[in-house]
Amino acid sequence: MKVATKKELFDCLSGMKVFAPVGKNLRFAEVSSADEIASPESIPLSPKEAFVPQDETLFFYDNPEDPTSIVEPEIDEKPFVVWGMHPCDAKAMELIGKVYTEGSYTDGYFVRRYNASVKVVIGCPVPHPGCFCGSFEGMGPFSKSGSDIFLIPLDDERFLVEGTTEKGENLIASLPDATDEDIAKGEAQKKKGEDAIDRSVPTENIENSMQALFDSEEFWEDIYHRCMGCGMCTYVCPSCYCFDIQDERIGNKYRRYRVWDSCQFGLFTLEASGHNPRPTQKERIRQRMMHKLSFFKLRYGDEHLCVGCGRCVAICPVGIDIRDVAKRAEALAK
Amino acid sequence: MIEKIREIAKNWLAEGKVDVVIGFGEGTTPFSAKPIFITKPDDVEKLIWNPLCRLNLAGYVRREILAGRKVGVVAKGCDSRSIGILLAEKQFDRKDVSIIGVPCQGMVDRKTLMKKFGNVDGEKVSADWNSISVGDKSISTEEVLSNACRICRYPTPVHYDELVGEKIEGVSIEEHDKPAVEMLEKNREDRWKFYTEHFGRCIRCYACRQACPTCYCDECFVDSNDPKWLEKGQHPTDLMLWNLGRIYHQVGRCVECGSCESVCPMDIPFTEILAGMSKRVRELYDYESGIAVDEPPPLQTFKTDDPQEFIM
Repeated sequence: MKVATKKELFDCLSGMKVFAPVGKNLRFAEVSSADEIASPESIPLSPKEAFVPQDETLFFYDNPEDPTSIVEPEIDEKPFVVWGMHPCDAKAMELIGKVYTEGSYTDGYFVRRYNASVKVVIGCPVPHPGCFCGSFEGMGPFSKSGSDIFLIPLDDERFLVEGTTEKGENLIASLPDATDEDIAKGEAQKKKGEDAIDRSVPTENIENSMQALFDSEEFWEDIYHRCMGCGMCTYVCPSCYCFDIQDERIGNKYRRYRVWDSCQFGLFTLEASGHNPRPTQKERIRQRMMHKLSFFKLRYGDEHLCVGCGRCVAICPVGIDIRDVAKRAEALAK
Repeated sequence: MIEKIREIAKNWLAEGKVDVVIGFGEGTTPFSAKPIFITKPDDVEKLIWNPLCRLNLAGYVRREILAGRKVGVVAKGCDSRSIGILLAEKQFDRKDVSIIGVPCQGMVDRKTLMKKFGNVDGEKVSADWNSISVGDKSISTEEVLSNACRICRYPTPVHYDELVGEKIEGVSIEEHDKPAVEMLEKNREDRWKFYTEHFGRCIRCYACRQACPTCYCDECFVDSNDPKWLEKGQHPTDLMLWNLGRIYHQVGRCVECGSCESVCPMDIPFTEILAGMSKRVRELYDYESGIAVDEPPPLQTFKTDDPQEFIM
């Protein structure tokens, strides 16, 4: 176990691009100094944009009729750092990884970034309104899963620093060892977070409870009337990964790119015939809740797609609360 | 005041005058109020009225009416004006909506509030028209009012069936125009900088559009595939085109409720721009949106003596 200030740790990572929450909205972007990085206690926007950018070029082509005119974009394979993810985010990237690697197709764009990344994850001594990661089995505000370097904030200046993979350990090898006092303080911070996190959201059997309520008007009407149909919940969500593919013309060239898409948009399921299998907000918000708390676990085995980061809860302008949805589903199922 | 609102809502539901009353209820996170749809007279107790009842409810009114329901709504000045503009655009008939008008002292900007207080998880919070408090800390409500509410010309509903509470005067035209004048006095470069800086942050979640009662097109220009008016990515040109395009479509229709600004996760300041737009419309056409329900917005009509000095 090591100890470091933000600056000392940043220096260990020199030579690599560092993406961290910055600016007015705490969006993950490249930083050039440790001073730019937002406070470790803040909850930034989703770090997924470091792994699946909102707008990502798949390839260029000169002639729509000629497949041999395809040119792959230049790919930076060098290691880079994503600093300031929380344990929920690191878990979310693992979950996106399942989708992008399991089955018959592997998404090279994601895998390349994921493998090249050094994930610096910060534990959370103080949960934010809406946070409930502790409600999921094996997760919590100090879960190290998916990290390369794990930080515990000790005070305003210093972190307890642990290399949780070989890659991470090598990078921090030069830092001074933590004292027993620091380690005890880290334990106290951990206990503080573990004690405070909301574990009251039922998640163990929720996939089945939700399935049973799929057609229940009574259950869904509580939320769908007020859902405005914006995509904010899906865009701030670390584990929402859906995208749309588009082509654009730039001068004499063409670009095929993908952009984040949202199941909350009417266009998401609109078919070429004009038929839309999810014609209203009822089907759309239901889809999101089912995907987060039911479909994913039923499809991939052991984990939910929701990681309890609470961002959608905190940001929804009409107060749609996934914790509440889970609680009501469980209550009705009993 | 809330008792009176509940009483009217209860009576309307019991009499069958309305099928649903749209208002606000308690949210599940600190400092939040959520839109609620009351259909049973006994549920009116869930209605609340406080400075967190921020969103404009007129979009829901339109949607519910089009779904065939008789709608009651708890309306602030801005909600009533949005209903007014929807009536002027013949989206529904006045008889389809019953309005409980509530003069509004101004709504709080929740994002400013959260920034001010930081993490408030687990602490006791309260919000009333005088003060907002977390634990022992307290600030005046005035301090965290939404930008749109600070320049509101019509805090008292313009259209209503019942008015609950004393009428409240809006700000003067001069006061309203201040942020607009500041914006318009910027030179071209600075204004461009303002646009590029703020619209450049847009993540295209379209919350502004969805929160806006006058953004009700069946197919928004940004969603059109054929023709594709703009690209879907994050190129600054497309972000600019999307935001300015949406705003242009609001000329003479926007009531400056500030819902778009309040929901924007990227804190894009729409108020200055929209206030400037309203100022122009008022000066050119002597028209304020949502006041006269029988007069369509100026860009939806043509008169031979329309002012034309802005045409190059």
